[in-house]
Amino acid sequence: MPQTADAHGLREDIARCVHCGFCLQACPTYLQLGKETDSPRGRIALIEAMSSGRAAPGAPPLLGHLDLCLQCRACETACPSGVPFGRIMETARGNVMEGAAAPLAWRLRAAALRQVLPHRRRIAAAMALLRGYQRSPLRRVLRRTGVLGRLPRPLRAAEASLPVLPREPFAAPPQPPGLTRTVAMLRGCVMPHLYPRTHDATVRVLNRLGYRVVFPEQEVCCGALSLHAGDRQQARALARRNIDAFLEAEIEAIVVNSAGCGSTMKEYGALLHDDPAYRERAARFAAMTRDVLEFVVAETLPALGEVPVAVTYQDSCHLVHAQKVTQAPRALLRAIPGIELRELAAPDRCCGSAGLYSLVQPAMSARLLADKMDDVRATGANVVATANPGCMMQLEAGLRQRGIEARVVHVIELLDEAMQAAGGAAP
Amino acid sequence: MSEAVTAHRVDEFVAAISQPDAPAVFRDGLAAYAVDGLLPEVAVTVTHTDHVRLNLSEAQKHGLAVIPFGGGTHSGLGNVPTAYDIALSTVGLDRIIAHEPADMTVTVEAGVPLATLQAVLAHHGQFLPLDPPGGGGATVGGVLAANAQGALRHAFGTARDWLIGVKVVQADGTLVKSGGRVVKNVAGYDMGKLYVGSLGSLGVIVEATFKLAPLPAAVAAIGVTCPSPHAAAMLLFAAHDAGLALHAAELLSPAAGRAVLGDARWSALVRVAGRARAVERTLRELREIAGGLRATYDLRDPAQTARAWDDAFAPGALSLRVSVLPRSVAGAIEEMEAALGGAAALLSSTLGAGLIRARVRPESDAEAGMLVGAVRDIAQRHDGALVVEAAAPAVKRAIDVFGPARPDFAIMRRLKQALDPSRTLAPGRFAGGL
Amino acid sequence: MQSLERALGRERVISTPDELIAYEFDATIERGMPQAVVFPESTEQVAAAVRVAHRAGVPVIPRGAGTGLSGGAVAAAGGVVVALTRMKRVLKIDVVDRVAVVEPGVVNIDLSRAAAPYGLYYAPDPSSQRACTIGGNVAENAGGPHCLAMGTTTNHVLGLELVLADGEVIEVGGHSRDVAGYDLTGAFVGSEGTLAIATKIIVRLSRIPEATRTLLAIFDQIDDASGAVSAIIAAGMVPSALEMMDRNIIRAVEPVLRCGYPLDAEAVLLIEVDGLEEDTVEQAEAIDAICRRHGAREVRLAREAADRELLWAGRKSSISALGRLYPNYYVLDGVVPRTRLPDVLRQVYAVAGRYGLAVANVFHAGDGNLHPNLLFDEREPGVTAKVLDAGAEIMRLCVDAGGSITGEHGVGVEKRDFMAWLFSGDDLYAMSRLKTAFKAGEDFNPCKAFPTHAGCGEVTQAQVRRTAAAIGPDLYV
Repeated sequence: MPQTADAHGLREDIARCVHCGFCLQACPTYLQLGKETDSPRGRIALIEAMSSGRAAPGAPPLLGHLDLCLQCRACETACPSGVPFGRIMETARGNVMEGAAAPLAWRLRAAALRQVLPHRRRIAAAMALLRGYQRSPLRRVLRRTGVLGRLPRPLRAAEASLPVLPREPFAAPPQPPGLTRTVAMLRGCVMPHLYPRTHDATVRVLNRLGYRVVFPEQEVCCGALSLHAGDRQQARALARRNIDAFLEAEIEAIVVNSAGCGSTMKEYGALLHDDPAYRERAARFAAMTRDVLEFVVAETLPALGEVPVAVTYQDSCHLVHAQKVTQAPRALLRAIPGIELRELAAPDRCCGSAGLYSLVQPAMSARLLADKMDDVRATGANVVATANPGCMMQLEAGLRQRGIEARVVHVIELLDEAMQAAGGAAP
Repeated sequence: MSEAVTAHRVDEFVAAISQPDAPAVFRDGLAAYAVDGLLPEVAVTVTHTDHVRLNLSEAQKHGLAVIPFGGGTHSGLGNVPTAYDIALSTVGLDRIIAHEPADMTVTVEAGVPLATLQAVLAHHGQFLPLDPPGGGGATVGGVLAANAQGALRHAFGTARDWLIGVKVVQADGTLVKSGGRVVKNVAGYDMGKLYVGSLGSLGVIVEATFKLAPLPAAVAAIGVTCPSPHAAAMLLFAAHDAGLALHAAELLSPAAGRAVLGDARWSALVRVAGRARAVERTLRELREIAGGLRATYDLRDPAQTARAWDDAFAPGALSLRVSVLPRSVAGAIEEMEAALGGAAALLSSTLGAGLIRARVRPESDAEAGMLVGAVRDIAQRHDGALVVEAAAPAVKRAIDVFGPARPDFAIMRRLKQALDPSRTLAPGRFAGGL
Repeated sequence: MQSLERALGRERVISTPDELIAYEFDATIERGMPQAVVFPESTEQVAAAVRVAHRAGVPVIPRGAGTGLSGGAVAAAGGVVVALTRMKRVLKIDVVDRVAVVEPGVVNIDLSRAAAPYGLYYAPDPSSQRACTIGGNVAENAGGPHCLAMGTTTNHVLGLELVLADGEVIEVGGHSRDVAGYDLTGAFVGSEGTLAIATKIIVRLSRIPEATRTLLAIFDQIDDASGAVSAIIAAGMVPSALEMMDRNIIRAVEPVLRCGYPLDAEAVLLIEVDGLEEDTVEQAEAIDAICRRHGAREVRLAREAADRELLWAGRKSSISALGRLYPNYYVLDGVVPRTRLPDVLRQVYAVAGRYGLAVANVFHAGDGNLHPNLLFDEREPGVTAKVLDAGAEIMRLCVDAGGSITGEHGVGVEKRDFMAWLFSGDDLYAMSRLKTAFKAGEDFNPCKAFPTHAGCGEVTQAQVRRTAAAIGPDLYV
């Protein structure tokens, strides 16, 4: 019974917490509100109370505190006892969703995700609509007439934060001949539409390092959004499909340039631990998954040309806290001639993007983003680099709102620029 | 209260404490116990804590006022007492109770002379870093009660930073303690802090435990004469900022320079102390800093300069202590020199602590009163405060030697009321007439 | 509760029972459910909240980050928790006079960070310094590894703005030590939130030393390590820190933080000296030699700042990392004269062994301040009682050795019944007079610091009181 196993696992995970409070100052929402109820330690106490029956499992104020959690997992980095907070929160949300008292909003969210995420064509269609809307006079009209102001908050937030989509989504490029090694790459659900340039850069860099890149046709969403929304069943279903799709190919690694996806994919082993049919392959899949920066930094880099910019780097939460990758992006940035790396005051603090968070919790998201923009401005950098599409979107929205003259890129794009600046094509 | 009534109570008190193995009571030689010109009716010398308890409980019972008396070196501090019947001399409490050198702590009775204690500790390469000027004959209890301090303040703070446990007899004769004998201890309220500098107004200190510091391997003294107090302050700030190995760092007025260094100019007097290499480096850097300021740098004999400074700043006819922020020291000391210069004043400032001492020889009480007023104005202009550490009784009567009451005086008054409701202990002596 | 909401605004009050669960505990095993938590953002709001509670006759419990290790922030008798976490501004850093003015909710390390650009820092560094607040540090007179040379919180606090139990706002002390009158600041520091609430704190800052050298000495025998500690102190050295960690601590910390503590060592000493470059070289050499003479199998010198930080990260995370070994710890805070360290340490292991409990020792060896951590799983029936009994015995060991029951964590809820081992009724009564002076009644952070009677309805307390009584008659040292 996965349910029982989860319940037992949850108790053991919670028992690791000695409530020392070391996590407090790592938690973005605690820093904003100063309340234990919105801190990792307090949330664990609330989850414990719900799971032991001391508090009603669906009590609205408690769910509100769970909802306000970004699941950025900065607390895991801070925790000396290794409390797996991300897993505790996912399990707790899962238990709420599977219980009788699941709130309507949570159910709707999960249902909506179920309708969209497994279907790349539906996403593509939606994106095409959006692309059309953004380029049509309709947007200007709506904005001018104030109709947008009457939309529900999440929609309004989405409308404001979405970047203008490029004309063409990502399409797998032809690979140069003569590449002897092969990796697979996850395209993701929205990345091909939002940031095809990042994908293009990733492929060029991998080619330059001697890798042919394949894109399994049957790929689906990684499941991160479902998992965070408490829909474990859906997350497992998506994981199984990806495992089937990727492990079919003859590849050395699965490369991901979205930290959020990579983090979930690295946890497939744990997610499918109780599924005998998939357990082993899930573990293998997880072991093969690499963030693109972590993958590239282990390679011998060719000569790099100059990229004369002042860069600040925002750690993507799911890269730094979930995958513990902090040095690779910095090492790559430092390796590029001309780049001056100016650290943020709190580079590993969440920018407020956090998957769907910026839509679901626009107020808190905006507070976090405002602080982040203050920090960015203080560095005086003209490029903000990060490692996840959600972060890129959020940071772009922030810069736009504040009128800060800087562009947002994925680190891999800068590396691509440096390779191009050095001249010479892939071997 | 008429004199006859008081005399009767004193007789009753003397009878009550005259038991076998009792404290000794004197009715002559009382001049040695004069406080601000007042003499007690009797003096009691004790050799045991129980004597102190008996003395105080009987004094309280008979409505008599007690002033605890150590070496008497700092008895000039405090307001003129409102009553003074019994001098309680603690010099007979003279045992060193425990000294485990490897623990770097010492427990002593209150009457142990500071000098005696230092000699014992020095034998083990240790010291208690308190060096009040004129404190040669001071007792440990007296140093605590007066919060007496010298040039070591620069590096070592004050008695509160070294006291880790204390036993006190309260006004009703109850023996109480706080703290303990270990260097780190947060059990119970830190009552010891309250007794430091309380002039015996809350209880009579009978035993104290201190943590200790190792004696430095090497010591040197440097005198640097400077064109102005500002230059001397710059030198001392620079040395402080560089983290140099300094035990003391004083800024001297020209008159103090003459008295201590034989050179009547503004100067800095620095005691360099530590391990040999640190001392060498410090001397080298001080010479460079002095050079940069066009000041004259001289190596001095450390023991001799320490003695000269001590002599110069032992409590005198009029001793003042001004406290300002370190940044204000140079300005304040210059103004004090201008205001006091005519009265043969010696000034010395522990710059890092923002403390300025003045020893003044006024020609009359009237002049003294005027000078106190002038210095208090200077202190207040610099957001600081003045404590009169010694002055003629007539001068003291016109002022509160601790200055105007502070916003927290209500708490202090309640504290005194709670611990000495009968006003047995040094009544009127403490700040605000407590 | 409505009057609290009226006084502070709804968003500054939590009073639903479900949410209050998050405020039932601090970093100890103590529990106590408050009736409300308030989040004032100014001195006036603190005063308003305190006045409401005062009028209603409800206990007031000041709380910083809740990282305390004696139950000081637990609402042991219910009441209103005043959480000062939103008052977290550094109001002033005065570089010339080396003074800072902060609100109580400023996190310890944030003050040092704010002062760092000026070459200054705030010296007391409790292991929880990344989370704990200056206000909490003041309440407990917090220590830390670097107190050995620099002193504890009390040596660094110059003045305070206080809200008294009846809501009166009053200032004590000032920007310098030399203010006339009783040292109320000194008496307040370490009063465990039982006298008043500090709403502004004036602290002294210290100069960041020119050079720092950190050594890790590795021992195969724990006695050798304690011997080396005594020898270092006896040689007249005052290192800036002198810390010991035993095998169990190493086992909890090393696998995660990879600080380079060897897993097969019985004990390591973490020793730091700072000051002038020449001086640190000389001291480090001398300490290296002493450790080797006392049986250290290896002494490492941290070369880079990053290595030093890693060594310290291990030390400062050590208690919090114990969750990797057992779900619960009971951390003790005994102090003994430094010469008694080897002897008492042996007895600590013996007591734990007798109760069949695992114990992990990490402590400030240089000051004789022991932190034995008894490890257990509170879900195991009867084990908590065993832990409390063993803890009481260890406390008693420290007292019998001439020491104290707490060096830096405070007495709090958990150790108040041991106070009678150290202090007579007269001593405690004299201390209680300080409450009168501050107008703090029994409702001001009740059940803390002093032995009290009924009303503190704690399971652990009844147990501890019985044990304390059983171990020995009251002792007046």
